[in-house]
Amino acid sequence: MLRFLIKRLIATLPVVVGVAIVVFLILRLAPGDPAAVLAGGTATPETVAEIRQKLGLDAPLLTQFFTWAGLVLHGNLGTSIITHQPVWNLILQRAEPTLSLGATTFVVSIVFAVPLGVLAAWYHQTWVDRVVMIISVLGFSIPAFVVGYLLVYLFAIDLKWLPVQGFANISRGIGPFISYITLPTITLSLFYGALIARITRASILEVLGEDYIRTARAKGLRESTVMTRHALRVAAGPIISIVGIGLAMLISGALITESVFNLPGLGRLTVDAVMSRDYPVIQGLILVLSLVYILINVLVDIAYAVVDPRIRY
Amino acid sequence: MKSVSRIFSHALDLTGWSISRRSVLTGALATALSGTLLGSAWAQDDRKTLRIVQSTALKVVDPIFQNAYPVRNHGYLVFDTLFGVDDKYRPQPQMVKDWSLSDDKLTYSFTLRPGLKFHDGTFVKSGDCVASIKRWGSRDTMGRILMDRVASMNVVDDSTFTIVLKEPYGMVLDSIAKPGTYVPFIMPKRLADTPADQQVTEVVGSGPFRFVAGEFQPGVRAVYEKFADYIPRSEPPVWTSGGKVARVDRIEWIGMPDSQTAANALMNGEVDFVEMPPLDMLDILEQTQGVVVKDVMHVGYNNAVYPNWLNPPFNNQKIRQALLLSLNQKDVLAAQVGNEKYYSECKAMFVCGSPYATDVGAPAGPDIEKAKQLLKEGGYKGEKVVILQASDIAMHGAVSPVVAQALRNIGMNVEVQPMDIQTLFTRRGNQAPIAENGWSIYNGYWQSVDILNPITNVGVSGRGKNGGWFGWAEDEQLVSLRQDFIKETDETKRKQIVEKIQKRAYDLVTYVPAGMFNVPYAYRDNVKGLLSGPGPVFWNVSKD
Repeated sequence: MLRFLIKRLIATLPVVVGVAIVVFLILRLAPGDPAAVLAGGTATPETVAEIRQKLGLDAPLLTQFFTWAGLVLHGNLGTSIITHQPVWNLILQRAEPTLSLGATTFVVSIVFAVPLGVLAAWYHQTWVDRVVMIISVLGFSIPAFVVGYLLVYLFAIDLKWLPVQGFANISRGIGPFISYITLPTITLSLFYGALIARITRASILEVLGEDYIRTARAKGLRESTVMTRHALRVAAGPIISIVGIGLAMLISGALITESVFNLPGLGRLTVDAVMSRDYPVIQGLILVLSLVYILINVLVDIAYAVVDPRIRY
Repeated sequence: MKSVSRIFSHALDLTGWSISRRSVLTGALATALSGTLLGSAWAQDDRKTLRIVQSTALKVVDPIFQNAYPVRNHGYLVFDTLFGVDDKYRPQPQMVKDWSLSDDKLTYSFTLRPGLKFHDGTFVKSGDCVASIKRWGSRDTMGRILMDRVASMNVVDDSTFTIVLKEPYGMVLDSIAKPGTYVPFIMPKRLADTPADQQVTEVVGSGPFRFVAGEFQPGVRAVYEKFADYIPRSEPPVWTSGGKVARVDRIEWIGMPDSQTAANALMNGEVDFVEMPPLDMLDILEQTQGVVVKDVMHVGYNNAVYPNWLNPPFNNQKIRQALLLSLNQKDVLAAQVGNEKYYSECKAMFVCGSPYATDVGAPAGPDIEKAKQLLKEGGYKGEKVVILQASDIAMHGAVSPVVAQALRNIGMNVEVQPMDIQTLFTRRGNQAPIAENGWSIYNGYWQSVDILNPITNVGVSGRGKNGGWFGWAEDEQLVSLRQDFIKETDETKRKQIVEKIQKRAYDLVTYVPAGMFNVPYAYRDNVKGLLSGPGPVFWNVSKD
């Protein structure tokens, strides 16, 4: 296992370097000019040109790339063009809301979606199955911002139970934390949970047709035991895969959810950085997020081995 | 019913939980109770803290480095100015106690009010003012013109300094009082000595509020606290002049990129003030209990449509005149603003209702037949007109389709190219032909205080590719008239020059004024004392 992990981590290096080069080039080739953003909309062309020169944005592309790559190799992601703050600081400042939202969404989705998926398979082609599938199709199809605004209208504006926007650090107490994170979590969980429920249902249905399930039932085991100990464990592989892929999708889903609920997380930082062409921040974020994706994939591989004894690395 | 119970039981088996009726009831009560308790977590009943949402979040803290309106508004909280302006656009002493002008009209002498302090505890000295004016003067259009005429700026003592001119210049006070970006804010000399193209990240002013650097999260939150040592003037506050009395202890500026969310937060009482509520939500906000929607600023914004003089077909005067006659300001404003309460037609290039307001040179109204005739006389050959549209900003993006339709109505070949505003800011700088990503028309809007005279209204500079505004309108006569305006010290003669400039600009169609609009503030009804002026300033504001 250790050898596998080391090999996997070494294999990630070319991926990260590739991501860095591609992101750098795409940003420079895309239209937009951070100097113009920095100067402001009513700045004269001379002012914009002065700032561009000052920032070194008129230097050759290769020079700009190697300057940045040199910093990254020293563990420095650079400084934001717009705010003049270190990119690491900005990422760390914004990590908590995104990690909190990711964690709550992950937990809520797993807790609700896996049992619902199993129930749908268990009661295949009954009204239970149909209700679960309708919910999951809706959850998967309705855009997050629509769900978000509807929840805000109902629970914040109409019922006044929860706040419209914002984030409370967990250090402010569990009550405020839950009150602020609830609606974004439900919004994101609907999508993520729908995905997991559908895959769970499909995987279980496939396993339920296997001979060993019939044998287990013939032995007189309780149906819940058949489901949890035999069917669900074998069906876990595809579910773990989708949970892993979904975690990556959660980050992109957070872009919209964080905007709707004004969560000051990495999603909003990404959008702000892209809108203001803050190259060092975008590059730093994508580099960090690509590392997170790779880490998730490694964890998924480890999880395979944990749930399925046949898999050995 | 039994089957539902069985399914529920199976579901609990799967999660490994068990449940009883009692625990369900307990859970429901706990949820209800927590809902009540949690409710207090966001309710804003603190009368000493004002929570505001401005048009964009604060990211850059140096108002001499960036000229965005929110950065200027941040500047007004933290920094003070030598002069402010009143509601008649007249300069009024602010940090200055006394000033005088020598008989030869070459030497201005200024004495500061005693006891003025910066937020770092040091006293404001005349050296700080001289350094701040120099830095601002290297950045701002009006400042550069002033600096061209300054022979020297001299520190006489800690509280007195002079500005000595090379030749008489009638706009010295207007320049250092200007409320439009960049505002000549005063900062300590150690910071003001920083080159203007380098951002100052330490925020030390002498204004009524102190910037709390430790709580600043760029793009998320900026916090200000009342500056206890600030000495306000005794006069009542008018615009950016008069007594700047801080009546709340703390201001929290919350960044909310989604204006819908900002409106919802206001309705829910989570914030106290929204500078630019979404126009399509004004009706809902007006009907919401506890929310006031009011045009407090009274200043407004002015639409401007800029044709590109470098590319066909708008390198032709007659075709630019056709553009001018094709466009109906009412159509633009109806699409952009919608509610007639908040817009008005305005043909004055230097702002309706201002000292230099005039209709001279403007056409009576749109004239489609004449526009078609001008197109014919101009020899229009069907060249493609590319309109840049900032589709991510509703106030910008709504204008482009109206302009496009107006041009199609007179038979022009038009393509609207949507993009985000930052891409537009870059694209508009491209002087290349259409085939090389060039453009024909883009539109924007200016806050009134930024275009009050021929110096600040860059649309009539006539400097073309030599430092002119995007669109690069070039005309020697306009350049010369602008110089005449700068040199003239007699106000009556200045007005005559302004009329000549406007007439010439309309004749050449350096740009097309496309109406004036106001965006009302939306705020909770317990917020009192909001002032009219160029932007939201929060001195004099209290919460009941």
